[in-house]
Amino acid sequence: MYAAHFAAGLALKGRAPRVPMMAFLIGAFVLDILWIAFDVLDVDRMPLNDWSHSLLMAIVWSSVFAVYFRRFGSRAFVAVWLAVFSHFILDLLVQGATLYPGASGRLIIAALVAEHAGILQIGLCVVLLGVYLYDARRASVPAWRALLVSSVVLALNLR
Amino acid sequence: MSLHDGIVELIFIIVPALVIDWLHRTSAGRRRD
Repeated sequence: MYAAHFAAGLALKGRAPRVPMMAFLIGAFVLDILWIAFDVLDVDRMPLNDWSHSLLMAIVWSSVFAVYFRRFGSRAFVAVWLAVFSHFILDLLVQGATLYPGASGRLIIAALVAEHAGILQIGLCVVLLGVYLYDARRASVPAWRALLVSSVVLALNLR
Repeated sequence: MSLHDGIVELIFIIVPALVIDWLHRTSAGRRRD
């Protein structure tokens, strides 16, 4: 899962327009940024990167990141919190996750994992970008620019 | 993961985010004009 995280950030941006876009885009990747840091430092050796990507830690990291944005109001806090936590949800849909670091077993939504992952990722991307386009239209953002942003995100699926 | 791989992974997050943010801010700026 890669491009859909950007799409999730875009979809949530409309919920709190005063919060900078970068807060949503980087927020949607906080778990991966932590995963990179933990992996480089050899801190997290779990197969599913439990210290960055488990349910419990996703809640913790979402709260830590979002608390900075409380100055924009409680709605902003919730929107940014969801942007970070959306990473857990999206990853859960395509690869599963654990409940907490070191937990045995894996949370999975079996029907969606592996065999349909590619289609699912693009489908999620399209739906989330649909929300962004709807919000952009309501905010009077020129349609061609909103479509350009959406095209960039869709192109990232090629990675 | 090596430090080099980690930096590459970060680039794949930060560069697209900067591009999207730039496009979005340009839109907002033109709307205000």
